[in-house]
Amino acid sequence: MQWLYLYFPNLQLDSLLHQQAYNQACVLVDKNEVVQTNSEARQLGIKIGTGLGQAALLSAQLKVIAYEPKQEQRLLAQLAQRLYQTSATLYLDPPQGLLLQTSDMLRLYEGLAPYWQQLQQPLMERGLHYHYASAHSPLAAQVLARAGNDRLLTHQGEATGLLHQLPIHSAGLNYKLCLQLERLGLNTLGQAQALPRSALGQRLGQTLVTYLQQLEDSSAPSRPRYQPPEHFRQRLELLYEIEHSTALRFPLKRLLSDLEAFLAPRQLQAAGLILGLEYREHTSERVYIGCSDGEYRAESWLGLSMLRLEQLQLQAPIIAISLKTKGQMPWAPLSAQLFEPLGGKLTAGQLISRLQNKLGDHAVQQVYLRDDHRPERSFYQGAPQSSYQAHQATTYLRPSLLFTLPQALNHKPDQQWCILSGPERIQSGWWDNVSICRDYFIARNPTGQVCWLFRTPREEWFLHGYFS
Amino acid sequence: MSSKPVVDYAELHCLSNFSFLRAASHPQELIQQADALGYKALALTDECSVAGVVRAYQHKKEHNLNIKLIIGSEFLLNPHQSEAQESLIVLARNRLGYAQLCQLISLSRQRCEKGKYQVFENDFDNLSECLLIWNPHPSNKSLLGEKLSSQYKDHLWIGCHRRLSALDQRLQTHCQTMAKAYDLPIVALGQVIMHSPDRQMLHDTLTAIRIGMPVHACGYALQANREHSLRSLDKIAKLYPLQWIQTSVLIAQQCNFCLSELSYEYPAELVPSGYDANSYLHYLVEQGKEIRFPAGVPHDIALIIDKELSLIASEGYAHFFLTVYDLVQFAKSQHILYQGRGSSANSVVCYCLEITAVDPRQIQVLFERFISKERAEPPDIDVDFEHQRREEIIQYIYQKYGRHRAALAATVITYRFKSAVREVGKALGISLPTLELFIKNVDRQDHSTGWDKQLHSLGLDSQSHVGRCFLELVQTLQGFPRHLSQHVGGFIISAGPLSELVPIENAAMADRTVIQWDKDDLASLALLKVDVLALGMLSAIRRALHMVHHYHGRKLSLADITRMDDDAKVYAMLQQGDSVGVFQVESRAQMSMLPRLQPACFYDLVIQIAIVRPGPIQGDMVHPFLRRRAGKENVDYPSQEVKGVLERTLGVPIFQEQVIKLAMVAAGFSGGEADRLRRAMANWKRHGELDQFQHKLVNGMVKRGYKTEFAERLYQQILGFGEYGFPESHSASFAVLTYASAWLKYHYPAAFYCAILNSQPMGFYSASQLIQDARRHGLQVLPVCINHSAWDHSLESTKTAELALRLGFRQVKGVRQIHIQQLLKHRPKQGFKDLPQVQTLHLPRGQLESLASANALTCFSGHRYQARWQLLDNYQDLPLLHQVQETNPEQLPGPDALDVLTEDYASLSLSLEQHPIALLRHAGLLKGCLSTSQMVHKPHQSLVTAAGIVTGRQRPSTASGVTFITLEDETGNTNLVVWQGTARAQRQVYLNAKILKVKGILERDPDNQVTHIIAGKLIDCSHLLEQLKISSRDFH
Repeated sequence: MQWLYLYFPNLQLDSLLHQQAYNQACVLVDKNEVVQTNSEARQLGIKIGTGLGQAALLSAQLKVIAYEPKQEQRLLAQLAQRLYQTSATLYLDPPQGLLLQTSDMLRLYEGLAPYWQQLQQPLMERGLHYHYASAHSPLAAQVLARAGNDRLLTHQGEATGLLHQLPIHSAGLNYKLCLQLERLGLNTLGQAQALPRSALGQRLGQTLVTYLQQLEDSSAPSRPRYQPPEHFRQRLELLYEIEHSTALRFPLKRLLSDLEAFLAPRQLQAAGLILGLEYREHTSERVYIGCSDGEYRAESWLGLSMLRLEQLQLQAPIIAISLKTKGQMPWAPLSAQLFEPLGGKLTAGQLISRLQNKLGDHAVQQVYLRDDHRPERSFYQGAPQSSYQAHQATTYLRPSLLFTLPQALNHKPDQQWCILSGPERIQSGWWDNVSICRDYFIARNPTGQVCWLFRTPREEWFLHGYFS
Repeated sequence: MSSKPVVDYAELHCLSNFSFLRAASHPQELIQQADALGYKALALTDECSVAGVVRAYQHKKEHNLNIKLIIGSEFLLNPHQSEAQESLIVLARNRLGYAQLCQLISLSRQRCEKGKYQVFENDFDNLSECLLIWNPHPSNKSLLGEKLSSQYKDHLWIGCHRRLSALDQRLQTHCQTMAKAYDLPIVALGQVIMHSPDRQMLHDTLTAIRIGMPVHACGYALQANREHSLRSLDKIAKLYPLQWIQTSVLIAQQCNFCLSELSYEYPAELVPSGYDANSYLHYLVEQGKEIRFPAGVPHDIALIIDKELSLIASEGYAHFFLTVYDLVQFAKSQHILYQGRGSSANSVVCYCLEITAVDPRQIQVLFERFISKERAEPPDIDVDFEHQRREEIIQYIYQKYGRHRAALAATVITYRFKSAVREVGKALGISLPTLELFIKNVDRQDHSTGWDKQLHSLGLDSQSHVGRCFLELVQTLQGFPRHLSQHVGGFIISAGPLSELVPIENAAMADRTVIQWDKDDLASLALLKVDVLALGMLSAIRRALHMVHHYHGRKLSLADITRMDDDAKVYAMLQQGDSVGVFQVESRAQMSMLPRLQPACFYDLVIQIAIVRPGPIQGDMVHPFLRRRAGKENVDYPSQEVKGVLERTLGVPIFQEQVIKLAMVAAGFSGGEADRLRRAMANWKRHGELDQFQHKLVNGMVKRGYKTEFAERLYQQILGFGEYGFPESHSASFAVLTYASAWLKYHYPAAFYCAILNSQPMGFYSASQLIQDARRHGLQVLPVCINHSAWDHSLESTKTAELALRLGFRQVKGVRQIHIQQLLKHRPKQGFKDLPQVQTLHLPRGQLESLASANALTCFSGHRYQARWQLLDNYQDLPLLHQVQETNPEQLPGPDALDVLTEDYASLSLSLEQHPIALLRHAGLLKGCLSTSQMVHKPHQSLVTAAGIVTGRQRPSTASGVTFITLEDETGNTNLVVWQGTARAQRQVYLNAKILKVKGILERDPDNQVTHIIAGKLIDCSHLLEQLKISSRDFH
């Protein structure tokens, strides 16, 4: 059997930078250590393993992004999903590798070269840096690819020869074993291979012997091979925060083309998409885009989505978007549905989507509570979630009817008013630059309504709500 | 305030930032503001703490504030719960009440780990001399009210605060109900957590830090308004019933304790019966005279002793000297080397008490500045002990005085720039990598560009709202206390229980306790502490003296060495800059100063130690001093008084004491003012307190007839000095060790290097550098060997009868002393004969592998790879196969020269084989490069190329933008001067290179032959020896 290994040393950074041309040094950092670099950073001498402090000394304008292993895993899965169209047997090797069994594919593609060309296409589209190698065993392919071999070897002899010369520290052995070998003066894989296996095993343990055996073993890995997901679900982290909904077009296009690539070979289409918008401040919003007849083409979906997004006012800058399908169905719609009577009872979720379909998404809103001293900020309206449970977090007395805009009173409450309690002073909100300073009172007005009033430092009076 | 205030009010509930992360003002700010608002009194009631009170007290005293300061503390029954809850305020009514309060705090704190406390209702039983204010809370249904009211009927009140919150009414009703239920009066409280409403932003940020969330997500955990600040009396009058307000003043009137009442009682057991402290001190000094001056005390010295003793008696410091005497006597009995320093340590009395080895005949000039009455400064004696044995002294103190009578002073850890940026940034929701980038990139030494501007250039939008908030908050938070830590060695020892004087709490280290005050607080209250410090050089000197005795039969003490006349040969060595390993003068900067300063006597060393410091360098005192010393510049004094102060340093102020003294004689500062100036100098970077002295200093001098120019220059020098001024009294004590170590290096080099190596880690140089230096001095160094080495490095007689240094097992990475001891115990006299014999000891295999890699087994198995291969065979570990020798073991190829170096550096951090640079040179990879020794023959200003291992990069704050790189090759070290422009243009090489090749211009000072290379082109040659594990000491 023949195996091909693809190694993506810069997976997370590449996919971030692919969205937007960025010609300054940029690095991913994990525990204050550089783990991925772009070419500009490398030119400045920033290497993998460089400390953040040192990196900062090398470039004052350095852009630093946190490394996220989860994100990288997602990216790898997305990549596998795409390559699955070209290659039937593949294995994930997280966080940055994919293993492909090529023997079967060669018959289909009539040779390694055309097959390889097919494979490279999606990698280049995504602007990924990669190393690769093909070899007779999964491990040999992996080791050679990770060492940056970048050759398609068809003869076992070639691969064996290359492995022979490989420095021990590039062989993918664990650090301790590597050190032990080096301290015996065994600096290349060949030097270790030259010694009797039994003598090696006796001294350095079974791991090494197994490793050496696996280098020669062409059989498939024992772990399960990649199975594509049944539903489309993908997330994209943005390099830059996006503040206008129209600017979402470019990243969205990428997600939609992946969607098409997912749906088309399965002869599926989606009746709706849920676009997740992740805001900077750990909140997110979900936008539903519907197409009742079903659709799979990226272009059509992009048109629909942009129409929908143009109406959308972003609450805050967006840092990531995600896309998943809602209601996947085969291309030929079942006409029988047309005549089926609607059910008599609706769940909250069904009601919400029914209302949204009739009135438009933006017409259906839900009120959420938020912990904030400022009355206007103590709640907000957002896209409805059927599962939301309101909780009363405070013991403060607050009116059940609150005006969107406080109504100015023409004059100070006179004797006909009866102050029931107060003042309660609320002076807060410097952090988002919407500070208020008000003295609130609960008072009964001449007509007997219990009102929530406030006075500003300039002695202006406002009515802000009614108690029930 | 001329008009009568609307009401009289005393604030009895006020937290400072010593209630960590709960309050947003310094104690000084609170007392200042309360006074300005016309409050009658302010009770500082930090949560289970009095850590901030001294600062408020000191501020009140210094600024002559009228307000009364009351000492108290707040206790929560469930301190770890974040919800609002009832609390109890305990106020000290008198000295006894204060002792009760301190004991309550100590009890509550010592139950818990560092920084926490737990108090139970029964703990409040012992507060007869305190006044209590109970703050009930509607959501608590505890029995506290019932318990307290039955116990403390006439000095218990209910406290009620109004802060215009929605819950005010509920609280007030509850308080009134409780008042009725227990028949207690109500008092108005402000529950103050900041001195001014403007601190709301900071307080919200502190809350965010405390609960670990960004401010915008903190919601109702933040205060709804700014009413927790000190409010005007008008407002107070509107908010509370008059009776409640009046009650606050009545309570304040009953509190009559002031911190000035605290006096320190020394342990009595130090004085034997039949003596009092003074007579016993006299007796000890008389005895000491005979030890120190066997030929009789010279007349002038005898006069000084009398003067000192009478001063000690009149100030009542005899006990203090006896305490220190007792400690050093213990050290002496245990053969622990020590040396006293500090203003009082350099007295003849201390010399006679054997606290110090500074011989008064050598530097008489010092003794004028013994404890000065006029400066109202308590005597200061720090004692340095061998760093590896200081713990024995600490345990002795605990044993002798008990844990209830002895504790360490605290160190208040405050927010510094980095921590402030990190915490404020997190609170404002700035991402962590961005913050790390800020922190790593801001050069705090760059005075030309402030940190705020630097942050701006790093991408912080300082015009945006968040950016502005960030800058302001970082600025304010700096200097805020974060937590209490233990002082490095400042002990306070008392006659009675210490916890009646100051609360004691647990330190992070097991079995260590600290008091709640730091050394400045103790000084403000004139409480004495004894500093028990650790010093590596003392360990080294003790070891060297021991070896000199053992191998040369000469028994010496520190004082013996200082008592001998100045040894010209020792000074000649130092004048060459040959000072690797010599205490205090071994750094690169000191080393290049030695040939310039040409020290020739003990006092020159005192100056040498103090002059290469940021203070004198920034104050621009070095060059004038050198010019005057070389006779190139005239020395003139504007007055006789100034001459008296500056004559010994040729008219240039070099020591901290001189600056203080100048302020007194030239600007007319009083003793107290001078002492404040000294403290302000120590802190001015943080608080900028020095500005207030400028006017007084300059005017005072002008008034006394000095030129404005002279006065301004002196002020600038003081600013430059700042916190880096070095006291002469410390310098003198250090100089003893400098001289002793230089003396040992010159006369007994083998013992000297061996002792320094055995005392690692210490000093400036790595073992590798020390050994190279030793070999350049002709010392033979022998490798680690399983049959010859001991754990420590040792001396061995060689055939030529000279002593050679044998490397010890301690140098081998990965081996542990306990296993080596076992190995040594079983080592036959004639040594092990083969590896299997060693293996019968069943040491952990890793230990033997480490020895194999260090080439310590070479006497058995050819080369180290083969030795490891043989060791790794785990069949040897199986008992049955024990005797089965592998018939034909594989032969591994041996290491080449580079492999040997790699292995040596990896397992020993040094190599006795070739120097890496020599290896490259022989391989023809460094064509055209001069070695350090060849550099001597090159003329000044010639173009040279050199290469070496980078052993250090330094960018002193005093040298604007210049980096000094030290290059090491097989013949020595070369200093490289890299100008900022050069460094910027070749940033990558400059920062990354481990092996550096440089083209540059050689410069040599004609006066003293100090040589360095001004770097031009830098070339990174690290790839030539990629595997070599070299570490450099960068930017320390």
